[in-house]
Amino acid sequence: MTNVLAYEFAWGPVLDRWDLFLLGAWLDVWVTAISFVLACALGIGIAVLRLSGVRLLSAPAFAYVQILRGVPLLVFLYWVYFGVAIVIGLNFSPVQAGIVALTLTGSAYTAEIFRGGLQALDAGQAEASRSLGLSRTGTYRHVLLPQTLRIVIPPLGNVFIGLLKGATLLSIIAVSDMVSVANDLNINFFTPFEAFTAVAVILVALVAVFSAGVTVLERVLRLP
Amino acid sequence: MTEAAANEAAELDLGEEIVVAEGIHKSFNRGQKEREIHVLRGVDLKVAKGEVLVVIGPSGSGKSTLLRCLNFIAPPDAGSVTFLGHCLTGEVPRRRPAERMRYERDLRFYRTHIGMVFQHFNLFPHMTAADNVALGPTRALGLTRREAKERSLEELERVGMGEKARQYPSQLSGGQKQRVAIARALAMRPQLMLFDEATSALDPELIGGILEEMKRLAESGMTMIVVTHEMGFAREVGDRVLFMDEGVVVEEGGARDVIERPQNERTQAFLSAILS
Repeated sequence: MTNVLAYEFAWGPVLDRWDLFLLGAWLDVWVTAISFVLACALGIGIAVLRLSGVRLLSAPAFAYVQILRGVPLLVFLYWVYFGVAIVIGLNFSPVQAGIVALTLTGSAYTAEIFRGGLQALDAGQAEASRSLGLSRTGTYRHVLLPQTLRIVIPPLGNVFIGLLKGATLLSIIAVSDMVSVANDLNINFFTPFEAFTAVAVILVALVAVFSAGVTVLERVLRLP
Repeated sequence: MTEAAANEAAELDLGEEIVVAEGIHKSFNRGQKEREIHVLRGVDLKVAKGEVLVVIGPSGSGKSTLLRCLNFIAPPDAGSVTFLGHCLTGEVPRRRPAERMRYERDLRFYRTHIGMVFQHFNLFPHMTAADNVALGPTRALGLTRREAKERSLEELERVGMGEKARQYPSQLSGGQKQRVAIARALAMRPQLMLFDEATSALDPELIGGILEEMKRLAESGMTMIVVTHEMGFAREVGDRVLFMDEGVVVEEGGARDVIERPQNERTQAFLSAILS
């Protein structure tokens, strides 16, 4: 058995670069935030199409979810960053490619969550709204979605956390996030344990802060 | 007012029909052999302005579905509904987007003139009572927020819910919820009110209050179609009664006549079961 204690931890290089880690983490956060908002918008649209009752719309929406849920984020990153550039000559910057990949992956999950939320509502809600003469869009906007939102906040929080962790993959297409900082540090000092522990600590802290935010949001939106 | 519109209004005052339904058919799970249920099998119906039509019948006879067909929440599979002289069928023009949009717009316009009160209230839980009532006027009639708010408070006041305007549905009792729901329908200033077993989900001690509210509305001249199991109300407030069973109108006539001296066997059986 090897003696674990024989290894001498070297936290110095990590602590010296705390500002780089935080800058990298900030990039992960805003890239995730943008992707999450886009994924929610896309997800609502797909959920509405799936529940439209028109097969021409619901079938493609179903296929979209099934396919996108199955494709790994890593594959999306390569597709969007390298593949799209080669196939149609559209060049994304690494960050743009990351946002597109995260949005696509996230939208498959948010679509399912919004579908579940909409289906959880009593059919009488839509009937009452329609009987008042509201349009389909108005019914979604004023009656169904505000109620759905309250149901889906906890599962959406999970999607956000998933995307935030997914964002750490962005370093493989040369996005300079906190993982790339850890990689550089590992190469220069050969301290993989310390470097990636730093990433883990930051993520755990971010998730904790985010969860607290979700709890507050739930409380604010709670109905009497 | 144009001359034509004035004539139309004058005609309506002379007891013209507000709504005429002809040959209404409706099935659920249509096209699925085993599961298809033919709920309405050719129903005709006429309601004159100011009239109160009470629809009675055993559960599953299609009463609620009939109401839903009248305001196209469940569009009829066959037959037509003529409302204030405008004829509509359940046939959606699917091919041409422009026609389809016009059809949708017609439906919305038509629904703004028909108020509906549901068995389970169907209030919007994320809005206060006042906002529940104001939603239709702002979003379907195009009133400003202020106008809608005023109208909302006025209607809530009328049903005795003025004090509860800022409460959410979950803070109200069943009877209070139904009053708010009635106010919500009335805030649209409808020409016709549909009541779908409005008292069936209420505690017994609250039923009387809602029936009283409906009676007052009838006395104010509102045209109403009421699906109910309250025979006392049907006899007292109803002008005409329509007895339905298995998707067809079995018997129809003056409220008192039908309830006190039913001619048809099925009506007799139903009434003796419900009144005993």
